[in-house]
Amino acid sequence: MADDFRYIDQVLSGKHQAFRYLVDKYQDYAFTLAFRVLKNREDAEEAAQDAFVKAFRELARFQKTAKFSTWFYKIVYHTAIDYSRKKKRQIVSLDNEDYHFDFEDSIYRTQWQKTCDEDRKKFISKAINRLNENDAAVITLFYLHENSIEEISEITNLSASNVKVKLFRSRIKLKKHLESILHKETKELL
Amino acid sequence: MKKCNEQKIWDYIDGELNPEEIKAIREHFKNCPKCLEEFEINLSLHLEIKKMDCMKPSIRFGKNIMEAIELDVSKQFKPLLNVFWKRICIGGFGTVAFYAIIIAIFYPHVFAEPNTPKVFSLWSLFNHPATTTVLGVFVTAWILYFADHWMQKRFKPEPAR
Repeated sequence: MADDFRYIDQVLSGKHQAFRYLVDKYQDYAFTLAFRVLKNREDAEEAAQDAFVKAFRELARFQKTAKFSTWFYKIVYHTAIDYSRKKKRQIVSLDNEDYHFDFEDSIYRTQWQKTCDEDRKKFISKAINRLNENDAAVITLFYLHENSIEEISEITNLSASNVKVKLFRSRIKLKKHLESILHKETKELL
Repeated sequence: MKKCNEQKIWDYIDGELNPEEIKAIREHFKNCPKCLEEFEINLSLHLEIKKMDCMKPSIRFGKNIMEAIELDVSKQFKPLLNVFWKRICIGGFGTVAFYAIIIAIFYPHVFAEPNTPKVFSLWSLFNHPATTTVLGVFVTAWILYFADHWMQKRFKPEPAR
């Protein structure tokens, strides 16, 4: 955090190349968050890049009482949401799918336990991509970026209780998406 | 915890329960295999998501950002006169100043009183109009070349690392 502030001061004093440090540090997080919202690499890169430029322009307004990451993720999240609205991409809704599978059903549980780490990551990634933009962003911010509920609340402009409810619902949806993916995989294997 | 409650299970995993609630949920797990199984599934999912890595953008991503920022900076600090007009103004001023110096040194009779005898000076060598024209062209080109060189360094934004 102190490093972030040091480089921010340098950027504000006119050494705009110092911004490269912040780009290198946060580019993967920004891209992942944008990707989770937009579900598309090209759009995510464009949105994340746009967010960095916005952050650079607004850097003078950043108050050092907060974490730079929280302030920056807020820009990334809202930029990605704006892109998503512009693109109006069709995101698979949970309601449109037939979820009659039960995770407690032994076939899917066994398959989940049997899958290797890489496959599990692949399945989870697929399942997260099926979540809607807000749910995917909340899950990403909570797990990948390890933000607290309060920080997610600040980033998304939702109340802390609302974030908690969203996180809970996202996890339930994620489980159901995983069931669906595992069901398809099982069918392919059989 | 007396009833099955998935939210409580997640709160337990997130470490958001107080000691009494932790004790109650553990008691509940002893008597409710369904909730215990739910807990195991949720915990496994929780740990798996935590293990997920960040995605990597393309190799040019960082460079593209720095280029976009440089462009932004150059627009933000756009000078009142663009480089072309600065070169013209400073080059023109330099040329005029140079000629003024030349005239002041080599053409003293310009400032002399009328009807005074003209003393031989170095200027007589350049007194022919053709010589002055050629000299003027070369000197102007020379001044413009160095002025341009200096201004390119002075007004060009620094490249990104």
